[in-house]
Amino acid sequence: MRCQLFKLRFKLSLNSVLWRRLCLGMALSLLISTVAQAKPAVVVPVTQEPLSDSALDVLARSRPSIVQIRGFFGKNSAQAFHGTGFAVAPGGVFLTNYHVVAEQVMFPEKYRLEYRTPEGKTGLITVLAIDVRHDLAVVRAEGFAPPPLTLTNTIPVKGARAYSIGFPLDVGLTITEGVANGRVEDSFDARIHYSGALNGGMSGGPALNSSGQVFGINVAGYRFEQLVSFLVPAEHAKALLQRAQQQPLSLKDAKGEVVNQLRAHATELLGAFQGPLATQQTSGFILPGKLSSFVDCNASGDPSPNQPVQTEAIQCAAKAGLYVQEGLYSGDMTYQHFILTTETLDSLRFTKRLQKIAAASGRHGSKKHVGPLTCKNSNVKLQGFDANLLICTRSYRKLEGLYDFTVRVVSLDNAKRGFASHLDMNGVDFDAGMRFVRRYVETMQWKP
Amino acid sequence: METIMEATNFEPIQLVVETLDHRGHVLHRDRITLDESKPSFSIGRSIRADVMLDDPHVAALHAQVTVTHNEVHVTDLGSQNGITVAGKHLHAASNVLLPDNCLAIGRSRLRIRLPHETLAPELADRAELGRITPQMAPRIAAVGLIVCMAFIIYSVWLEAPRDPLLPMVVGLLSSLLVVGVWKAVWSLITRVMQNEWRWLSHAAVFLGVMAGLYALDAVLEVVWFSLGLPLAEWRELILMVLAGMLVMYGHLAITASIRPATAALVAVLLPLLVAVPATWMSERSHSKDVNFIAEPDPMFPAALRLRASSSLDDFFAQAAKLKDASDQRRKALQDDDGEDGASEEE
Repeated sequence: MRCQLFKLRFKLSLNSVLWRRLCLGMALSLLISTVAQAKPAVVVPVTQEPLSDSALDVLARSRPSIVQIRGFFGKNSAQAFHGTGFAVAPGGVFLTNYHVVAEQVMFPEKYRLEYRTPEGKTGLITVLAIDVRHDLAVVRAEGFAPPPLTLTNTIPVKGARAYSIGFPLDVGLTITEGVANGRVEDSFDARIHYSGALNGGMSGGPALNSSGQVFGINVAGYRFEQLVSFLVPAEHAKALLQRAQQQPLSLKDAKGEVVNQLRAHATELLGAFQGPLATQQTSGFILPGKLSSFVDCNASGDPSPNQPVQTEAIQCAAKAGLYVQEGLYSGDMTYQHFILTTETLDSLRFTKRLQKIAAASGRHGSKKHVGPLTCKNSNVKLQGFDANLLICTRSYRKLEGLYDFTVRVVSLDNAKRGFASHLDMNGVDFDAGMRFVRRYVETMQWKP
Repeated sequence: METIMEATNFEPIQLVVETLDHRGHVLHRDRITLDESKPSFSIGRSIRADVMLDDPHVAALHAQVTVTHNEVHVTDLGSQNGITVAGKHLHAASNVLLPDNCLAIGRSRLRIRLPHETLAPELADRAELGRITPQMAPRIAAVGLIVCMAFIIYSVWLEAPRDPLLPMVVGLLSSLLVVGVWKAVWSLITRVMQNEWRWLSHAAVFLGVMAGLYALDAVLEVVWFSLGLPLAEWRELILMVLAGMLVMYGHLAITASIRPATAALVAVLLPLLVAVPATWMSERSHSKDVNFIAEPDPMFPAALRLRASSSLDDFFAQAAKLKDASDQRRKALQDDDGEDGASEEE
């Protein structure tokens, strides 16, 4: 289930018209229902807990340093997307999320960025540095240099009060009060779990402790869950700030920079699986298991005993996907095994069933971002059994030097038991990817 | 008797007997001359009958017809089924007048035409709306085809697609298919109406070839798996085209009267005409589908494998070439679509 939840994760800045209408509609219907409820004579008094004094204090202190960041397509005066930014250094240097400015970084000639203060002052913004890996960006605002907020590397203890500020759903500057819940356990990405409301448009806003120091940056939340939100630890912002001051990004090299960062991300991900790969044994097959603590695996099966073929499915995800640009998440790795056994079916029909499951996985991708898949398919000798091995790769269009991998392994030998395995990797270096595929395949073993 | 008395001063008389089908169309005509030596004529199945009918419900010598003063009389010669005159069924009719000169014997209808018959005036030949003469037909068809094709090309051009060739070919082929199906339905209706359906022969051709196709395909699948041959996407295509040619030849040459050489030519060309553009279209759409993976050949139980699997070293040595191949296919797509990528198919 956790794996599915991650698919529902949304980025806070990408605030499509549809989403906004949906929210407005929901808000209106809520309003209507409360109005209708207020009509009867018995009125239940609603006690609204006022914001704590410290929240008022935090808001008052940080308010001058926070701006809305808005993106515009072409020369339009209506915005295309929006997020939040806050001052982190003198001279108008602001911090926000990479995903707030990603479209402008990728298409600098098509998009422009502007800031808007709560008072309505506007001006242009240029990107100074990006960190795709941690979803951060440092930008400079023209003609606006408020006092910077203070960053702290200290993450509040679990249960401490925390505050998040931003411009949710374009309804104006907003502060939400919640509880810091420490670092997210078993996550490849460094994230702080914040139990407070984060909504679209608050991306890039600061998360502060009671003394008004920024310990995290708003980044994402679950759309259909309640107050499970995520922050990027401020330590990563400090490193990026340093880079922005020493070597500002030129938009000409921005794509190369994204590629380098994605490649470093992939190297780090694959580097996390050093040594022999962790395995698990099912029905005599030893297959790659939970490769690292941050890899999410869950296993399921059909419990009814009368099926001609019993299937067990193990599905794992590294949850290391990064937002690169609209429609392109990259850097993730997923793998699944389907282990089939039969008591009643003959080998002809069992093989057919196995092959059907092997073909069931579909690949997602847009030809805006990647080229077509090219495949190599053959029968190979593995440890104790033979298998049909299919490897397909495709290369990225704008982010040259990155590849997607799709791998299928189907066991050939056993008449009563067999497995099909899928491995998908996105945005990796070709040679490093191929080396990992080989390790993945070499780990497989038949040991009855 | 009257007939014999009149026979003495008998003027020779020329007449025509028409055998009609159930719709009243003339099947064939017999010209008969009556004179003193032969004052009447007979109708029957026998070769001794003057008008021979190929009808099992007619007696060998069924009836005798005489003509006097432009009046036609008929006498039954003792048939079992009798005769029908002016809608009335008669048994053992003797010298019965035919008011409309028509007569039904068995399941055949006859009309006797005399030299003095009154004919309806000649019809003036005016061009009718909706009537196409054989000279006009090919011209109208050709002009219609060209105009329709031009409209299809125009409508694709109007949409300004990034790759206009594919939708144009798809549009032209699908409209040709519609025309083909339309024509086929009318041809079938015509054949069925003329009792030329021959559906058993057609079924034999189609089902026979399909059975062969299935059997050959199954054998080839097993052979491919046994020998561990690389995936051949063209294999099934070739089989299908061959089967199409055989079926086409069978339908044309065996069940219709057409020269074998012509039949063979059409049978070879028509499946190719369908297969070549269809393959081109699917290849083109696959080269633009970044998620497409060709369906692998069917797998069979391991006992059928004859060839040993390759080692991982060999496999990965080959797989290293995927890098350049992927780059090439990506570049080809980029050249086709433009640098930023087309979004119209998303």
